[in-house]
Amino acid sequence: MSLVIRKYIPQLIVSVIIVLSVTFYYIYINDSIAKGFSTADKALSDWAVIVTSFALIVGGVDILRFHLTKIRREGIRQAPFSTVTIALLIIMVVLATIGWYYSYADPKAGITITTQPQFRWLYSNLYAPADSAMYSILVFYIASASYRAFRVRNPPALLLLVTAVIVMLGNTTIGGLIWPGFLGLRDWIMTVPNTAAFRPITIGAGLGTIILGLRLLTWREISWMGRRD
Amino acid sequence: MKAAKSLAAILAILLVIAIISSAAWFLKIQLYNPKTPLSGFLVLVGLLAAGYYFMSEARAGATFPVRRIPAFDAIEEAVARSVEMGRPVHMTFGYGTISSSMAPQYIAGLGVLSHVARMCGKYGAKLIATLGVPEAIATTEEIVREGYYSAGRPELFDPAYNVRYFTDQQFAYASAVQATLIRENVGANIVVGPFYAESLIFMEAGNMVNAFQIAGTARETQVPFFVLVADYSFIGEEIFAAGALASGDKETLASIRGQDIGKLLVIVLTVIGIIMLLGGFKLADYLNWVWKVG
Amino acid sequence: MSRSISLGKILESRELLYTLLLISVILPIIHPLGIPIAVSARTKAVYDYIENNLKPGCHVYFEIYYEVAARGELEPNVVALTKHLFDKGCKIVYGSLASFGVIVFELMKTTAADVFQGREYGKDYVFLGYVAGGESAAASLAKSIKGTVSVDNYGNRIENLPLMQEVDKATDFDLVIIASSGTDTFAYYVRQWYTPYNVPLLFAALSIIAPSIEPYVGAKQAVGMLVGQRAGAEYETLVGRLGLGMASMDAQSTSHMLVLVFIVIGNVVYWSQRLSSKRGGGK
Repeated sequence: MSLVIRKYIPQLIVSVIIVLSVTFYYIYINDSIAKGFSTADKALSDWAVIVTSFALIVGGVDILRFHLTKIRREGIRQAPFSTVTIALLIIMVVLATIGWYYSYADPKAGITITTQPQFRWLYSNLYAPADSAMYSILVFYIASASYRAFRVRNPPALLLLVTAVIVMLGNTTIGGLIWPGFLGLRDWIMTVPNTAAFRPITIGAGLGTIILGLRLLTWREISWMGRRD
Repeated sequence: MKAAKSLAAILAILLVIAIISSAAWFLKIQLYNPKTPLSGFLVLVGLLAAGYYFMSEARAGATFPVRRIPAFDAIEEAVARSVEMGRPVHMTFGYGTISSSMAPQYIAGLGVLSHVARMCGKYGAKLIATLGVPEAIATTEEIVREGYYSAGRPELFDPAYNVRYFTDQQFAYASAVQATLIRENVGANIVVGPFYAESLIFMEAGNMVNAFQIAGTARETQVPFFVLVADYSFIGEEIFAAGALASGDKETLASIRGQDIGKLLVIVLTVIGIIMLLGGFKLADYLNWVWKVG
Repeated sequence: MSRSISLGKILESRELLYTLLLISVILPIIHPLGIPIAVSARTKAVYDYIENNLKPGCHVYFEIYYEVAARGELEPNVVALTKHLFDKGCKIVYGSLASFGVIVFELMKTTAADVFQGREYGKDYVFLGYVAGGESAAASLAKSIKGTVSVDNYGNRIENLPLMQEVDKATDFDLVIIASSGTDTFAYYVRQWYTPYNVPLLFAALSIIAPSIEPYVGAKQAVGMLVGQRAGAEYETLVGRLGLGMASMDAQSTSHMLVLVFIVIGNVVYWSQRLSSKRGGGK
């Protein structure tokens, strides 16, 4: 029984959903059937969103478990960081719940989860700057990665370097002062050779997805359940 | 004999599709979605049939040579070196969720994780799997546990250490992974799955601690970062093949040949398209043909 | 040789590069260099499209799908486009398929208060707020906005807003603009708005995303694309309102130049080491 629940039922669900998704996408018959298909297709993706949303609760519990274990193991050295994380997790959930309550209790007030004043304040003044800072760190990482990577070790590396220099100069106003042609050359590189290099990767990924779908359909791909063979 | 039978079965299915399609055409039933090009459907069915044919041939005993993927082979080396250095192995499979179009890459990432977990069990390495998607927590725990248990090292499994879910917010997740890589001083950094802007953050953080880095994604915008910075990288669809290689199953490996047929088809269509373009015709106009009844 | 090795070591240290980079980004923002910017052909094409095809009173749907982190690159594009559309007398319906869209929209309105000044909410523009459901929501909005959302972001009934009495479905719009930091959003609109209803789409994308959505523009599924911060700065000069995009362009220029200098020096050091070791160095 356990094998049925843990192995066969999940695989069956996956196979049925693959077949249904393909059917809903390609088969038409008539307007009302097609409309029914599109409603059912939307329902399937809504279910997926709803089911995965519940995983957020598991995620919240897991964060608590991780930090409480860390405090227990590492003591006072870890406590300040983990306490801040746990406290903010709880505060954001409470504020969001207040916003959610008002969105139903008093819709005219225009308060929803994201527009709840304190939630919004914390988001804009604490989360947003931290989020932007992490994204901005890429400036430094791109610089150090390109400094290491653009070494002319062989002719293809020289080609890579020359292309990078043209694109970088094309992206700057200083490049335009050196030679106005950099801008047009950058646009050409980005739209022609660059797109040409991206397309095979996209196509390959599409083909890989189809064959992965086949393996899921024929129950040969089982790693996603943990290996239980 | 078995392979011939399955070829006959595939031909029979294609025949049934052809008969149903002709009947629908004859009875003036709009069988196929008139907003979707039929070529897509034919390619999908054709590739599934080809893949299935190779799988059944493998079941009947045929073997198909599969090109080695250096990044895949390097996983064992990365784990072994980490053990030698007494440092943990880190693996993350990205930020794409199972309910989005990133699901296939997410599953490919899980396939690589199961291989990494088994290698960690084999060499007795400490594995840290970090997550940015809550729905993967249970699966990841299961895969890591399986890796250690199957190698006979259950004592190494400690879910609070091995599996770490941080948050589902992209840069908060990136920041937490970066901190983990540096604080835990990881010896190997294996990053395979759907990645967004956080890819380079992971790679550079790994580089700061001189970790052995293996990375891969089918998200084309992030491929260049991985190729430039990682020691070994899976490019594009190689991550899907990695899952098959990890399984070591002959049938699963044979399915990759279906992928190759697809590539061959794309190359042929590209050449035909270029020739037609020279004659003033666009192949896309024909491929975008939709079957409209009446 | 030892000199080149020690120079190499200094240059290898991240701290030096990071410090210089920080200075090269901050200084031009405090003291702008004011380097003139040339407008690229594709940005001009977008400007010309709006200039020639949109008439006063036309309707535009504007998808806001980027997080705070991507504000620097996309907000200049959004503000400049909004100004251009308002100047042309267009009416705009903003919406977001992402929860963070609500926050970045409000931030954008605050920084571009002058653009929204004199525009009446509900009549000249509407903000639907966050519409949950990803691609399904995009499809549903294309069919009927009123059938998808009942209230706007501020709790007003959709049917009470004058602008929403003029528009409801995809075909009611003369242009759809998607400003997104993700790749998938563009595909949603191509599949759900362009393919079934043939509504002209216009993209505003991050530089890194642009190549992966280029095929849509190449296949004429979108009328044009604004790429990254540079396009934002270019569009700002075209509409005559210099803002965040232009201010950041100098910083972009100086930081790019610094990286270029480091790449060149790195190569010089690398080759000098390589040549000296070939000559039987190691003394």
